[in-house]
Amino acid sequence: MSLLEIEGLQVHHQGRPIVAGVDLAIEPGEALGLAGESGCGKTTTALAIMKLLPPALIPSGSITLNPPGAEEPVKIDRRTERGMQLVRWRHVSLVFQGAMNALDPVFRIDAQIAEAIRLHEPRVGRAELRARIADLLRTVGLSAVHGRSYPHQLSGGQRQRAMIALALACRPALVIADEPTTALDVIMQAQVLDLLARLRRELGLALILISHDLAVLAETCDRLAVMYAGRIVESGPAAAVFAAPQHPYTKRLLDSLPAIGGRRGVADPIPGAPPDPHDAPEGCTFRPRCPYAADVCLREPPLAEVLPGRRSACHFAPWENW
Amino acid sequence: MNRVLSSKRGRFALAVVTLFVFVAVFGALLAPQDPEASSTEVLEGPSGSHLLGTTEVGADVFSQLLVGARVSIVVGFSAAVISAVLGAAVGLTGGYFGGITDKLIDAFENWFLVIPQLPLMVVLARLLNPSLGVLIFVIGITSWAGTGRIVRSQVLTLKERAFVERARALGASDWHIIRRHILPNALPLIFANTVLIVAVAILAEASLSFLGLGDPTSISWGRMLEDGFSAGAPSAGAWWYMVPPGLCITVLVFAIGLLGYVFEQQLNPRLQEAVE
Repeated sequence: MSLLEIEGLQVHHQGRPIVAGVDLAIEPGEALGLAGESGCGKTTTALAIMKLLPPALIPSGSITLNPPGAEEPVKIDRRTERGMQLVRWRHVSLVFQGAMNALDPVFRIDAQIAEAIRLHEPRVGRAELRARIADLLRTVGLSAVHGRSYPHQLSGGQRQRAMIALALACRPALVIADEPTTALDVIMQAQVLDLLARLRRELGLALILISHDLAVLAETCDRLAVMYAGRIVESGPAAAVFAAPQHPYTKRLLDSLPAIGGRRGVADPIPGAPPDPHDAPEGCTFRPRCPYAADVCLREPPLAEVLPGRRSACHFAPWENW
Repeated sequence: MNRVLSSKRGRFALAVVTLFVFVAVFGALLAPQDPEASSTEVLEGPSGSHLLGTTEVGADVFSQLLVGARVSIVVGFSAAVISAVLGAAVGLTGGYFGGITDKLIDAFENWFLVIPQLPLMVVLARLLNPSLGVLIFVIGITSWAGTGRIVRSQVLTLKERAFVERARALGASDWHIIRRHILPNALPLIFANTVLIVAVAILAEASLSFLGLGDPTSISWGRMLEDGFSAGAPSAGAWWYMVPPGLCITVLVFAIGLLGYVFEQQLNPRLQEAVE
């Protein structure tokens, strides 16, 4: 039984799909990377899992969580707001884009961690609370001094660590990290990614890592799902997707990365921009930007298993030589 | 508080307000004579035995002035607290929940904003029996709308901040988010605004008392003005009867206004340079 199963998730804005049918499953302890350009529905998918979408976005489809130790599955799509309050952070927590703004400026870090624990375990005693906060801070490489600091007194990397400590406060089974390293310099990026990988090993966390940076995902994740215009266009084991992409979009994304030690030259970007959800092209949504587009692409390609363990939404898959 | 003390204006305002609060607390003990005691020395000018002269019934004006500070301060602060609590509650509810709740509250608020405050207070005070409590209630209930409006606009920006979304992701309820995240972040603004309301409330108390709608059993500066006016002090040239309470009201309101202004400058980073 998967930890999280998403079936046919759609999110509409004014009748137009922002997320147009996403199916995903995450096993306990697995790290899934969600890749794609800005505006392709990665964050919207994450917020739908937490049922935190703004009121203008209407979700449909089913999202089922099977938290370890729970007697029955949690049907997130059917939960009320009150019901979700019990699930949020307890089973699924979120590391936000930009920790600076996600921490309340008027409270110390330890008070904010205490808040999270108290919300779900109101009967925790003061001594235990203090011990757990100290433990969490130590886990992410911070000290008690940082716990007594206000967010503005910490550096960007420390704040992101504090945010991760906060995400672990209620020992969730699944952590969703939405661009956790985007605001950091490369050194801090590497440290935060190492931290996430280590925590996953030590605590057996499942992780959904959202990033536009394929290199970041390749390093941290077991499996990769590439999103384009609200759909998953390719999924498979991270290493395999990297080695032999099965969708032109993934191929082009990888080509747009300059290779270290490789041929010197200008990176090869994808021309154009993802389609506006209010004016999406017919058939394959990547068609207008795809160098391989043909007449068949006017029909919408299904996300099908093209190789063992590999799925691609391209009529021409499997691709062997590009 | 340290930053308020670092500016000259802040120090001055705080010193004046502290002095008046001190008088309000200990005025009755400091008063050299019984402020209600009548004597045969009617409407006499300042002298050794009566520092600020006497009233039309021969009571000591200086003693009345000291005792009267209490009503002004008590009414001013209590009414401001009522106004702040009401305004904050209304502003938080409307700003946070938005939609139809906000629209209804907004309409109600507009209504309170456009009704001239003094006539409304006069009517309310007339309807109810004049007493200190009624005075506080009437002033409080007529002055919250501005605070409500300011708090609402602050809440509108606060609720879009990422930490509010994070709090919701924590599994926090609306009530928890308002109490633990929105309110603490809006508190400095509410505080600065309340200080300014104190000044307005003190003026309102003086106005109502001057119109004879104050508490008839307690001495206040407004009542002194009214007594002096009805006793014909201005035409009799008895300046010592009406100038001191008028001056006290002016200085206190000025100092509180200044204090609120300094607070506002400290809390609004865009105004901070102007303080230097």
